[in-house]
Amino acid sequence: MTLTATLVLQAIARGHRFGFEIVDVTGGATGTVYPALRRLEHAGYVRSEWERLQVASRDGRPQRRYYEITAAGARALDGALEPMRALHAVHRLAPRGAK
Amino acid sequence: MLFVRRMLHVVSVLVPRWRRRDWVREWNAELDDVPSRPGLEPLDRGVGMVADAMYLRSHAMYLDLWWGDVRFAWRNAVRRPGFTLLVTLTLALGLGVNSAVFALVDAVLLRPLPYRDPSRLVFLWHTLPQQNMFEVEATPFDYTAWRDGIRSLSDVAMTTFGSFTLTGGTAEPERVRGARMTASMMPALGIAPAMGRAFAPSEDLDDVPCVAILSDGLWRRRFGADPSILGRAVEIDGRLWTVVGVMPRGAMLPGAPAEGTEVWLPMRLSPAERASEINHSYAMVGRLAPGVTFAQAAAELETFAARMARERPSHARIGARLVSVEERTVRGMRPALLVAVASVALLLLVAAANASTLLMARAANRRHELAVRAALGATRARLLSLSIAESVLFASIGGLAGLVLGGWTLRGLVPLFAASLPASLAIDVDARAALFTAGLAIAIGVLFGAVAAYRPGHRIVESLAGTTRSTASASTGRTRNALVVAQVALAVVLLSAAGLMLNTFGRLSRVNPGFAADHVLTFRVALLGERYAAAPPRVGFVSDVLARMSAVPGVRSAAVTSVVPFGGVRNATVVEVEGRQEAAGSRSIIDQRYISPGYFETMKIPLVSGRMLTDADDARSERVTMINRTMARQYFPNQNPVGLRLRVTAGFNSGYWIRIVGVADDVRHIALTRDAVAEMYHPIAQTAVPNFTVAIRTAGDPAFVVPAARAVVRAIDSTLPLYDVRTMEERIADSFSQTRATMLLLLVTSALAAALAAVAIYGAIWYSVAQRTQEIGIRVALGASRASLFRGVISSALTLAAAGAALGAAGAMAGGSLLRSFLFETQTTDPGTYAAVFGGVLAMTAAASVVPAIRAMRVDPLTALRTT
Repeated sequence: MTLTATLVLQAIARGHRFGFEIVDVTGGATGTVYPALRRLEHAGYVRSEWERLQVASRDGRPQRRYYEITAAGARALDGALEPMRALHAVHRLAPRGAK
Repeated sequence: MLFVRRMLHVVSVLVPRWRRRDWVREWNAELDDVPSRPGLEPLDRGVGMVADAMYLRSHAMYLDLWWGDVRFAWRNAVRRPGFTLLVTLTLALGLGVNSAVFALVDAVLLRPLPYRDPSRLVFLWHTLPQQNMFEVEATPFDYTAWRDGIRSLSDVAMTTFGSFTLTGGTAEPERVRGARMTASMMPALGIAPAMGRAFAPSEDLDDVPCVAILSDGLWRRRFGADPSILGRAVEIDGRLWTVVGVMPRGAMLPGAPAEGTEVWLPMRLSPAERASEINHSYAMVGRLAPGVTFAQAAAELETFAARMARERPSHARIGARLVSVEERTVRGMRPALLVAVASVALLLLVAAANASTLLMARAANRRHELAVRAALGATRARLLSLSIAESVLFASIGGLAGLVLGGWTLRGLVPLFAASLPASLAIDVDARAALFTAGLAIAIGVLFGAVAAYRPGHRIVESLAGTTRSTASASTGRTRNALVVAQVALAVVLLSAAGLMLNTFGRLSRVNPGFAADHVLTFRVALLGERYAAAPPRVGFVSDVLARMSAVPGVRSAAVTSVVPFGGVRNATVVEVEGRQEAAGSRSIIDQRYISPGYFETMKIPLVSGRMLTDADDARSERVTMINRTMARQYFPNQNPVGLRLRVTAGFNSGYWIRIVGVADDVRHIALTRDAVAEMYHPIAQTAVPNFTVAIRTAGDPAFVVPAARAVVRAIDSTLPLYDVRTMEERIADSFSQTRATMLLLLVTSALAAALAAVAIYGAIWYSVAQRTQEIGIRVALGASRASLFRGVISSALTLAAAGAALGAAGAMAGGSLLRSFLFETQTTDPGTYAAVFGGVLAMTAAASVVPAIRAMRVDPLTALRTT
């Protein structure tokens, strides 16, 4: 899984559920985040649904398409984050002053 | 922002039409969002929108291309209906038999048993290791002991299966299968009646009113699905029972015979029966307590049994074991189903390889078209996609046809295995089988499409120039030959298996069971109710029925036996030989049956020594018995047993002496594959058992005597049904029905595989001759004789077949263990079978290559050379 896809998946897992919100928190370019979102949906790692009309009407805006992580997505995210966690652990163990 | 909104509508053109509306809606909502990060407006949003649309466009292009390939494949298929029919029929054949066998395997092996959490259910059996018996029914005493003493089991229930006579009303008397069970049975299994109530614990004893539960099938068949059946009295075995429930459709008890359980009755034991430590007639079912493993429960049961064996003389040398209900339920069918799965899977591989060869042959004709596509820039992946689209299309049509074929196949397959399948099992080509077939069709389509597209060393320029003598055609020929070898090998595996089964079947048919099975009709009668409570009316009935049957025209003789050969049941007792000291704890368990005088004459069982039983051996005379040759050899070596005495030490009224008056020859009572065991024949007049089989020897076809037999029994007592009416030959045939079913399945699949392989050989050799026309022309011009050309073609075909046969024989020997449980006096490496298969395959190959060889002989050198 690419770094962008991992970031997008992590953002969704953390509860950021629609397009620009995900772009916002990942800090990625819209031109990479949206295709990544489509790929993740196609792979079955995220699924999407339209928010309820009443909620959107109450807030006075169009309905949003919300994304959420699937069980397969959660497993894939865990696998993708594993090397990062290991890297983080090594970084913490490195002697002071080491570059 | 207005610019971005206008841009949205322009860019949306890129998005596939089926997704466009949704996409615009989503982006409209996105554009309304206010970002916290500065700089996202508006260009960045526009870039994201275009990137998103482009991604969806490119993704859809693959689908569009694939869809285009499928449409192209469809047009090609319609343009060549003959070819399409050939390929789809070949695949339908393979997929059809697979869907049928899947439906069978799914119903028997894959679906969970109809109980709550069935993997936690276990049988509790007694074991008699010294007698080599490991699944012996336990006693009511054990039920109480195990229920109260085994902590690893949360529930223990007891049942005993039997047949019951339904009478009363306007319907004919009917004999049905049923079971008596403790009230704990249904809760243990997690089942309940669909209507009414389950049994109450008080109904385990015999001092409460009789209640019964009916199966759904019986309720519909005999009582017309009467909604007011609850509370109604039905007559079972001459007594009135109040119906308190109706079971749901398909409900069954674990371990029930294939006919199912039609009447469900409470246990109803007297206090004395409940305390019995010797009546080993009850199957026990338990449920593992929460958190307890099978191994833990098994260990506790074994320890418990060991303590019982030490403490109670009745349980000396008796062990106990747990057997999983799931495992035991499928055990009988698993070997046959594994063979069935293996055989149809091999047939499918042959069919797929055959379809590959056909597609390759067609691809050779379309070489120019494919070369043009390649020259115009089509990559290998695109050409592969085209080939796979075509093969998946063929496989899909084949799969649909296969489902229809599967339904027909299943109709033929289920009766073959009927003796081993529970009657309540619903077996059909249903949605699961359809899904399986669809998955298999797509997988096979992708596989053989990829094989057909495999063209290493393919040269575009040579193909475009029309020069066919290229390395490409040579490598295609090699791929084709490899496919032919594979098909022959797979066919040989199936043919060898069929040959071994045929060999076994032949040997079984030649086994002498010890009696003459021809022209013998058998049927069972059960004398129940108050009228036959005492022995004299039972003896009177037997004498009456035999006298009347003997007077029927066409009947030569008639007799009765309590246990008919190949009847599927055994009856045994424990005896001591007079004057012989048994070793401590050991016991002689001998099979026994009660017969009328004339039984040996009717069955044509020879007398070895002493005398036959006669009418004089009745209740007033000394108790006598005849033993068989095996018992005489085992218990009286170097001694004449006639005149010696035995003491029966098990069962009710045990402890009496019986005198041996004769020795009869051995009979294989249990199965043709099992040698005779030690047996005794007691006169039925001395122990008037209520259940017996009438055997009638006829002059002509035994089936003609059936109406007369019914009339005779009805004339004596119209409330008694005749049941289990079969000729003795049918009984023997039924005893190895699984072997016969497996053999038939293997014969059919191997014949189909061999036919497909023969077609493949024919096609490959024909194609090879066509490819070599110029070479053959040159050889003829240089003086090669027509005969040598003929021999050359035939020998190249035989070389392919021999390679395939050798591989197939090796494969068959390696997989022979799958068949071992079916084989009788036949080794999996039987050289005769392999030699016959080898010879047959070579003869078939020679026959299949005659036409191409004649074509090679007729090549005109002038024409051939002119086309160079």
